[in-house]
Amino acid sequence: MHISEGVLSPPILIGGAALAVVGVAIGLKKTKQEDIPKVALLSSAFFVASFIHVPIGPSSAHLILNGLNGLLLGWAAFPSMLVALFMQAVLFQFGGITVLGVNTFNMAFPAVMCRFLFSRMIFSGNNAVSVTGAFLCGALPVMLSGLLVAAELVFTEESFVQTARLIVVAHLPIMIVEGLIAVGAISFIKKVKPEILGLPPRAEQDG
Amino acid sequence: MIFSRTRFIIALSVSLLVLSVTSAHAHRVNIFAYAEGNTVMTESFFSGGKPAMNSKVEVFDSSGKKLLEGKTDNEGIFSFAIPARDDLKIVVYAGEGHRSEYIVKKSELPASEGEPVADSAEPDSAASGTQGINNRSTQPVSAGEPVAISNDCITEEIMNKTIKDRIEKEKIKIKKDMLLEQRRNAGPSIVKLIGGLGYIFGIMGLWLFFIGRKKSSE
Repeated sequence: MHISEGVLSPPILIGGAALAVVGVAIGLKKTKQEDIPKVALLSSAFFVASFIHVPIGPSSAHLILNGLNGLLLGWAAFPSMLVALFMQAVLFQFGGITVLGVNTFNMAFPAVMCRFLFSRMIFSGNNAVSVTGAFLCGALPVMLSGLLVAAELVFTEESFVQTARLIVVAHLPIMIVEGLIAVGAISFIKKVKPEILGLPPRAEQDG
Repeated sequence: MIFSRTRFIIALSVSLLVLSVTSAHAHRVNIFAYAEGNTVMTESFFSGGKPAMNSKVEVFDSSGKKLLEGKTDNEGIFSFAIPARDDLKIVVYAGEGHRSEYIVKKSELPASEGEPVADSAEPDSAASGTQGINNRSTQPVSAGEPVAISNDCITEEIMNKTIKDRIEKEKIKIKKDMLLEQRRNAGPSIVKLIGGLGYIFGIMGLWLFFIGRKKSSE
């Protein structure tokens, strides 16, 4: 879902970059020192994820893990994915330097939004609700990112609906896989160390 | 307990890395083109070698004017007759914002049409060298010149033409080999992947370093 160099018009590039700068600034400000390794680790997970090709479905699509980034990092998903996308652009020519802002925004914004939308569900006492929330938090950002990409491509590709449908259909298996990854990650972290998610530690249970 | 979260995330990254070794596919479209006779062959494929099927291809001249467009077939191939003697910029749009371009230089185009040779009207002269030679050999004869002299000229001409054709063919073969090689290496290498991870952690180190310095100076 990396948009290549030379596809988008300057206004979209500049707008995307501006939004990404805002997101990165918020992310940097909100990141505490002890969270920096976590940001770097999720950044590398995102960097590596684009090499994992899911061979199911009509098109070759790769894992994205933007939902997981947003879920575990919140706003820090912006700097995390900016760095990873920069590395992908420089080393592998996925995306590109001029589209870096747009690509960062496309990936990070839906992820951050989903975290805020579903965190209530994820931390509810009801296990089924919690699992559903985590799944949505992993899966939905992929689709929303795809819709953002399709919206930005309106001027180059034939039509929004067609492009959006292609992207979403191609990424359906990815969404399911990422949803399951998020469920696994959340249930593990909740058991082991809930404060990673910005929650108060469950001290009363740990003893 | 302190290390458990980092341990979890490390485990996640490592397992992803291991997975990635087995299937290094990713999305980036490549296009490669070469001139063969009077047509330009283009091949588009994703990193990983999978062909970019049914993708729009546009051809521009050096001034940026669009000359023609078409779609790739199931093997990612799109070929077209050389539209102009110019640098041809060939752009492929593989959907989802994937785009790549390749420039076929004017000098790479076979010079059959541009040459001021009388019998160049024949379009497939480059395809069969002997055909062109036969044509040439009949021409001076029909003009009524002495056979012996023209024979001398022909042998030299034949030689030149044969060599030229041969070189052209070899050039095309080399280009095809290059294409194959490029395709095989289209996937990103594991070395770069690990390098990228190194950079990310290097940036983390820098970030921590500057925060630490700020704190200690306060």
